[in-house]
Amino acid sequence: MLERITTKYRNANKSAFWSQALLIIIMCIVSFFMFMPFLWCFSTSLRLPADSFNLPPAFFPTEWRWDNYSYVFTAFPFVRFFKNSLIVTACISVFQIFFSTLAAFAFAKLKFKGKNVLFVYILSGLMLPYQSYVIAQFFIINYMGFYNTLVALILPYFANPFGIFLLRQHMSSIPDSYMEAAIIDGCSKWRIYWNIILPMSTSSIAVVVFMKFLEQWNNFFAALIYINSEAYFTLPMGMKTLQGFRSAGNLAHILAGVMISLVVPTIVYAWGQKYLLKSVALSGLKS
Amino acid sequence: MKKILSSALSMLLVLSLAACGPGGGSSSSSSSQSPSQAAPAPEESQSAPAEAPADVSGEAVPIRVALFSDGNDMSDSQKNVFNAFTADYPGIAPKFEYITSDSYGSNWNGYLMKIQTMVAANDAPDVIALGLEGVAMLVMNDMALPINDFVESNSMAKELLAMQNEDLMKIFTVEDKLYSIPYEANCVVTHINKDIFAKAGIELPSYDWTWDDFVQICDQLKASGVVDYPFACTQNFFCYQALMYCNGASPLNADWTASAFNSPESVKVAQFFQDAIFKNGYAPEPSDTITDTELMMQERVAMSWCGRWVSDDYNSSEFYDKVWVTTMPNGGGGNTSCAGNAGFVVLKGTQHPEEAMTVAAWCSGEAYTKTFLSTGSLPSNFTYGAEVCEAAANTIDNWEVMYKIYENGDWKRSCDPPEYAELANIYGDTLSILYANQGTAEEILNNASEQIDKVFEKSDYRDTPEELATIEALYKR
Amino acid sequence: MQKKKKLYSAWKDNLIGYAFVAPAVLFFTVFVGIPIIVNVCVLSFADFSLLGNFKWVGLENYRDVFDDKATLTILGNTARLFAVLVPTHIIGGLIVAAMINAVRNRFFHSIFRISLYFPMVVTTASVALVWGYLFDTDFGVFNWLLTQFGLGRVRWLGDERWALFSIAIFSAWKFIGNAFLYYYIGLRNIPESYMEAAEIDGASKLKAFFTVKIPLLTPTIFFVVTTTLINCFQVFDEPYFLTNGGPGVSTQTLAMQIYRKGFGQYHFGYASALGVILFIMVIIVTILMFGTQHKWVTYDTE
Repeated sequence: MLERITTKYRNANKSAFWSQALLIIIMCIVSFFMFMPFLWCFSTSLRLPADSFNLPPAFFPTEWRWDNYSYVFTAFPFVRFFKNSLIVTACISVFQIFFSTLAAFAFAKLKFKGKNVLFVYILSGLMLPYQSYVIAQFFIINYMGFYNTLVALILPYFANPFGIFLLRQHMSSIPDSYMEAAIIDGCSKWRIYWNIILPMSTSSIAVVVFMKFLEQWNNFFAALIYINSEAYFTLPMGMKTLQGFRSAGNLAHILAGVMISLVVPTIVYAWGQKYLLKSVALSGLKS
Repeated sequence: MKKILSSALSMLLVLSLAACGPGGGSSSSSSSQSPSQAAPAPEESQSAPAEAPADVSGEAVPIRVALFSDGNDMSDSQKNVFNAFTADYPGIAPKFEYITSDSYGSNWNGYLMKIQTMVAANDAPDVIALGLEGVAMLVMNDMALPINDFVESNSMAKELLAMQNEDLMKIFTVEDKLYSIPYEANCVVTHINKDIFAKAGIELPSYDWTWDDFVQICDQLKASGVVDYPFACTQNFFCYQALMYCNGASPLNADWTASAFNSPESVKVAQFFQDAIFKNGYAPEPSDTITDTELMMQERVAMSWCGRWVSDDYNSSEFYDKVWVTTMPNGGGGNTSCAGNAGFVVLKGTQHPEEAMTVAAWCSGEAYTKTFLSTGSLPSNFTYGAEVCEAAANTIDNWEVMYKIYENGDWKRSCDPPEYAELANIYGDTLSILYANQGTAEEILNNASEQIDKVFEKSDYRDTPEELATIEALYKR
Repeated sequence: MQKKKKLYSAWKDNLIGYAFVAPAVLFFTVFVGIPIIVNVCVLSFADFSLLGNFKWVGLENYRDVFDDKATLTILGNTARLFAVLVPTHIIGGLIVAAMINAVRNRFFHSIFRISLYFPMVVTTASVALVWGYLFDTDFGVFNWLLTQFGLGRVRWLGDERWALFSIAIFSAWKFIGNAFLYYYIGLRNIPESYMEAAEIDGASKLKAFFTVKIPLLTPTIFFVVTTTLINCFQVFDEPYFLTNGGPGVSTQTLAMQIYRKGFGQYHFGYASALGVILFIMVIIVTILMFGTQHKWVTYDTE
């Protein structure tokens, strides 16, 4: 009897092993295709410029040309693009999360007239395509005198409907009992928000910040419309000028530039992913 | 409660204050004080001492000069070219503003849009660089100031004007009003990789070569096997126009009132290029990713068509010594090239017209030409231009032919009515459809013609007799 | 007295509530709320340029939009993007999420997870540059691979029939991480005990997946479908960088056309009208989605 159970167990283990192996092999192939463009980009960025178009695309260059990187980094104002992008995304991240948590707290925990109407009003932003109001927004921003400034890329994103929605879902799940004790102690709403609700929402906050950061780091359309001098170029716009560089015929240099542009998102991703995975916020996508 | 409100409010205030600085508030000193602009500071601090004395002796008049450039392609000496100007005119402090836009080919459309936006926001530069494509549009929108009176009264400007090619000058003259003294010119020429021709044992063509010679060379190159493809198709419509002109075709009729894009001559040209890609194997399929210049420099093709503007690209890849240029092959329209020029135009909204005009005129002179055009486009000031090209070691071979084209009159300007923005889009679409083989040349061009005529019909620029008269007065050689 | 106090406190509660939501509502109103109203009610019925010259033209902009041959192609392009992207994101994303979830080896598990989500993180402008070269007809890697297998070259971006598909491939590669992430988290949050219970009942693993996990995932699926649909309407960066809308208008999207008409050709009225059409279409899709929601989405309220 005991023997039978153990063999059965062993068989189950064996088949589990093979199915795991198969799974890993399939996923390795998928992952390879997901990573292939980066691999090609990396290997070509290290080649002699004249070899850029050579096929087959050898994944190991014959000669490692690291100076392609230093060349692009000096010939091209990457530092400025990074700085502008950082200013924009940092400002947006900080302010939108502050405003979003405030609003989410009110929508989740406070009672006031017109709460639902306001909530639906903000949520409608989730489905409004940017291009359907960009012309009017352009004229408004131009009228305000923010054309060709970083402010034009920052201010419109202070309201973050998706963030408000996620945070409200999360804050609603915090039991009221935590608040009641504080209310009895005579705490103000602000103290409840600041001392109780915020500390309990850190992982959701991290997720919202992370997603907003990526979204804005990659925001090309707004920069395309609002920025015209290179001094205010964000990275995506900078990459466009790098593309213009291509008529100089130096694929290796361009791809070195591409590799450099990947650095910051990679760092942010490394930081943010543990919050992303731990967070239950995203699973609470219930209406 | 009050605390949050007040802190939020104060944050807003700080933010909006910070924002107003570079944007609307002080338009004259525009960007230099903004913290996010620290990067170009080294150059600026170099130029600062030169300007400083002027500031002490009296307020130097700031003049903002817009360039269609991202500044990346400029050297430090180019960025500081105005130091030489301030030495002569201490009371005026010109400063570049780089304006970039997305470029459909290399047209001026997006750039002009940005300029208009700045005008609308009351933050316009005083002087803008402008290619011939935008002249009609700018003039008919009443955005530019004529400089006739200024030139009459200013000896420097008068002298510079005299050095220009008379025909080229007419491009910037509308109804007897002169809007600029151009600084650069360009004509489209055939770029040939000498080495490949030598390897294939083909002689370099003469000035008056014909289209048949050209086709024969293509066959020879193909047979020789020394290069992937004989030539690269151009995606730049300015260059494509040159190929039309030398075949006796043109996108518009002679007075720019209707399309001539589907004329038999034009269809012939289009058909040739379609076949070149899809039937004869003369050219690789043009793509948005790999440009004709890139193919040229990677030595994948032996010929291409562009102006002298590519010489910067050639230089950065140390490629210049392989290129030799010559005229367009005569396919029934003479060895006629498409040519044009660009100049600095003073905008109507400027507070300092006199100073702005001085800056604009000076830019077609010696210092500017020598700093900016030793590579890059052809100087339109022929006197300094020849000197500059001669002195430049790293330049394409046989550049003299470009000036010869101007002297012999073997050129026509590109067709740029005030509806240029829309036409440029139609042209761009048409070329891409043509190169993608999505229909016969005739169908594609008929369709484009229809669209062009529709643009003219709906145009806002052709309603009154005065407007029609202005369009008629545009220089249409 | 009591009543007065109550009134006072309700009034105070309201005020506090408004104060908390004020910043978000303010910015939303100024930069989204007002623009959309102005766009719908004013700009789409007017003809104007950057320099002023405002003029009411009634329905002319809309007439122009529908007279334009390109409009039909562009709407068709959106539909074709749907046809490729919706299944790849919704089904493909679910399959990879389920597979990665089943991988036990922690090292491989995290490698796979990163490789799926990483393209999502990087700047579209950067990777589009890379893909442009991969897709090239004569010198690209894809065609080189095809010729190695004895197949003919494909004109990925040059051919009207392929170009949009190529863009969809790129877009799927770039954005599948989003759908994947939602599914992945959704799956991880389903307690293992549910599955065990099903397996004890004798259901096979695959069957248990469909009968237990999928129903629990429906809210996530609903969310992914809705956002994918809405995003399909707004595709801009991918065609902008890879083909610029060409050949002709064969890869032009609504978003690109709005940009091109407005900011490229000075037809702001036309672009606004197109924006309104985009707006209406998104609303219709959203209403359809939410209308059918109750039929297949199960909300487990516990």
